[in-house]
Amino acid sequence: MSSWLSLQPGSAAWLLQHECRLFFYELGDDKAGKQSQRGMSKSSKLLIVLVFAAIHAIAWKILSQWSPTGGELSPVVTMGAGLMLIVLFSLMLSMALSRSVAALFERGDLDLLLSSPVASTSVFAVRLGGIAAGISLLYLAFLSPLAHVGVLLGQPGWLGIYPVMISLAVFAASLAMLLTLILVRLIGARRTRTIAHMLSALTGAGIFLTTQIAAHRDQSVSGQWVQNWLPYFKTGAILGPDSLIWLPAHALLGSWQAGLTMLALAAVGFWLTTRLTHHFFVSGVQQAGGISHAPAISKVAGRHSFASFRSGLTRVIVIKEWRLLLRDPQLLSQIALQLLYMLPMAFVILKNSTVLSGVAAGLCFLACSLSGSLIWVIVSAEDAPDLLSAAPITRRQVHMAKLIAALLPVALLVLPLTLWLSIKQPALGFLAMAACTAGMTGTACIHLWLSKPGSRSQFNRRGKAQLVPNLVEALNNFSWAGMVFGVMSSGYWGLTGALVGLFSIGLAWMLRIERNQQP
Amino acid sequence: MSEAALELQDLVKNFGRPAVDHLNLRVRCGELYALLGPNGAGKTTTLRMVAGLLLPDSGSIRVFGQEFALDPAAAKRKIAYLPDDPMLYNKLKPFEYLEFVAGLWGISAPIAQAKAVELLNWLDLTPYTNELIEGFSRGMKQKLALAGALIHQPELIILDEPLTGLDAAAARQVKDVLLKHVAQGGTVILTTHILDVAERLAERIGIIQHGKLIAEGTLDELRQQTHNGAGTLEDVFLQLTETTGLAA
Repeated sequence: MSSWLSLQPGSAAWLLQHECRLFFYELGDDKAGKQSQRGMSKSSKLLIVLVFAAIHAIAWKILSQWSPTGGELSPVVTMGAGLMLIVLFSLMLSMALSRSVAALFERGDLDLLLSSPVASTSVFAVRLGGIAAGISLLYLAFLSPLAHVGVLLGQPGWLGIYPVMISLAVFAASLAMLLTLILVRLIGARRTRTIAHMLSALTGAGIFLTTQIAAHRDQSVSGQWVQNWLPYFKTGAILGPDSLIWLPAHALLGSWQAGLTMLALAAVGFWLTTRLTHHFFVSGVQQAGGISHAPAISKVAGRHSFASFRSGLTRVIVIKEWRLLLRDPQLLSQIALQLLYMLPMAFVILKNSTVLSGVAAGLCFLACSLSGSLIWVIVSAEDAPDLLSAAPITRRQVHMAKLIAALLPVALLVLPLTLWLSIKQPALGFLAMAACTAGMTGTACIHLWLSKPGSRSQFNRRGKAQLVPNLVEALNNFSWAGMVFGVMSSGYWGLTGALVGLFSIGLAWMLRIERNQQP
Repeated sequence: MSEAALELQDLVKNFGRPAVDHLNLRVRCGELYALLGPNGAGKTTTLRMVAGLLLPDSGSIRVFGQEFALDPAAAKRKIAYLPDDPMLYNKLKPFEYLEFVAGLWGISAPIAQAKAVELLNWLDLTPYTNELIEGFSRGMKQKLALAGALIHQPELIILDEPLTGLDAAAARQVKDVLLKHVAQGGTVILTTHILDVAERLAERIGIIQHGKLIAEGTLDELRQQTHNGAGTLEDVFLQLTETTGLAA
C-alpha cells in the first residue's frame, strides 16, 4: 500500500484506495514489445489539460454574456434547467446500468474480494461508489469549468454544479444497481446481461426519441397535449416552479440549501442501497460466476451445427466478426443505441422535401461514430491475436478483412440515405457522401494507428482506457460533420472542417503506437 | 543425420534482461521433443519466436530447412502452435471456430469440413457443437484448440504446457493425439512441468535454463551426463538445474 496514505487494510477506505489505484493504472498506454506502462502517458495528460482548458474558454465565453444564477430566477429558467437535468440523469442511468452489469459480471476480482475477510458490505459500497464516482467525474469534466469560471466572474452560484452532478450520479448508480439486482433475481444472471444492456441503450435514447416523436407529431395533436399538461406546471400546481421536483434545478442555479439537501438525500439513498441490498449483490455475483460453466449437451440428437464451411480468408474473417458481434448483447445494445439516434434523421430525410444541412451533418457524425465503435470492437478487441499472428497470413490481410467487416454494414446503412439526399439535393447529397467516406476512412486510420489491443469485455471501459484515440476520433467525426454543415451554410469556409479532419488523421499518425513486432 | 524439423542458431531475445541467450537447438523430423526448464527459463519465449509471435533480437530459426525470417508465411503453414491458454473465441461454436482456423491456413472448405467432423468426433466434442465455446470447461477448450491446431495437418506441432488443467481422460486423449502424429511422421515439441509425461512420451529432452540449453539427449544420455544411472527424469532435471543455477 502507498506510503503517503496508510489506511486500515480491509476497510472500505482501503478498498476504495485500491479501486482508485487500479482506475489510474488502467489509463496506461501499453506499447507492445515494451514494458507495460502504468498510468497515463505524458502526451495523454497534455491532451486532457488542453481539452479542459478549451472547455474553460468556452465556459468563459458563455458566462460573460449570460448569468442566470443568483437573484430571483424566472420559473422558465428553473424548469428548463430541470428538464435538462432529467435528460442528463437518463444518460447517467444508462451509463450506470452498463457499469452495474460490468461490476457484477465482467470484473474478474469479485471472487477474490468476496472470498477474503473483507465485509461484503464494504465491497459492495466501494463498487457502487466507484460507479457513481466514475459517472460524476465524467460529467464534472465537461460541466465543472462553468463552476470555476463562474466563481471568477462573480457568479458563485454555478458551484451548484458539483453537488448536483455528484448526487445525480449517486442516485443513478444506486437505481441502476437496484434494477440490475432485481433483474438477476427475477430472470437470472445470463438474461440480465442482455436485458440490462438493452435497457441501458433504451434509457439513453429514450428522451431523445420522445422529443423526436413529439417533434414529428401533427401540430394540432401537439397543441392539445400542451394544453392538457400546462395546468400542472402553474404556480402552486404539483409540477409548479416551487415543487420539490425542481430541487436539482434550484441547486444547479445556485441555491446552496437545495444543493445540501440533494447531497444529503444522495447519501441516504447510497447508504440504504448498500445496507439493504448487499446480500442480493453477493448472490448476484455467485449466479454470475456460474454463467460460463456446465455446457449443455445438445437436446436434439443429431441436430448439430454442421453448416457448410466457407473458403476464402476475407470471407471467413468477415463472417467470424459478424458472428461475434451478433452474439454480444453489450455490443449490440451500443450499436442499437447509435442506430436509434440515426432513425429520426432517416425519418426527416425521407419525409421532408427540404432537407436541413444539420440533419445531413448529424448523419455523417453518426456514421463516423458507429464506424468507430465497430472498428474498435473488430480491429482492436481481437480475442485471439496470437492465433492470427501464428497463421500464414499478413497483418495487412487481416486488417483489410476486418475493416470490411466493420465498415460494410455502416456503408450499407448510410448509402441509401445519402443516395436519396443526392436525388433531392444533389450538392448536399454528394457532400454528405464524401464526408461520410472521408470520416469513416479517418476513423479507420485513427483506430489502426492509436487503439491499444483489448478484449471485447473491455468495451465499456474503452472510454477511459483509450482516451487519446477516442478524443482524436471525436475531433475527426465532428470535423467532417461540421464540414457538411459549414459548406452548406457558409460556403467555402466550411471546408475548414475538412482541414481539421485531415489534421486529426495526421495527429493520429504522429501519436501512433508501436505494434508488436512480428516476423 | 536426419533432416531437422526445427533448427535454432544463436537465438537471442531480451526483455530488459536476456530471456533467450544464444540458444542453439535442433529437433529432428518425426520425433517428440520435450523442452524442459524451471519457471522463467525461456521456454515459452523460445516457442513464441518459433511460432512467429515474437521477433528474435538476433539468431536464426529454420523450419524444415527454410529460414523463417525469409518467408514467415511458408514456415507458419507447416506449424501449429498451442499455448497453455487456448486461442479461442468464446462467442463462436466449435464448427465455426474450426471453419475460421481452416480459412486462416487456406484450407479448402470441403477438406476442412470433413477434417473438422473427424476431429470433433475423435475428441468427443460432437455433442457440444451447438454450444458456444464460452460454456466449455478448460479441458474441452484445450481439446478444441488442439482440433484447431490439427485441422490444417501441420508437420510440426508446438505445445506449451498442453496438459495444464486437464483431467486424466482428456490428458490421455491429448497424449494419444501427439503420439499418433509422431507415428505418422509428424514432429512434436512440447514444454511441460509434468516430468513423468516428458519421461514417457519424449524421445529426446532438452533442458533450458537462463535462456541457454544446458543439457540435451535421451533420458539415458541425460543420466550419463549426471552420473545418475537409475535416476528418474525428475532427479536428473533437478540435479542439472540446481548445479547450473548455483554456477550462475
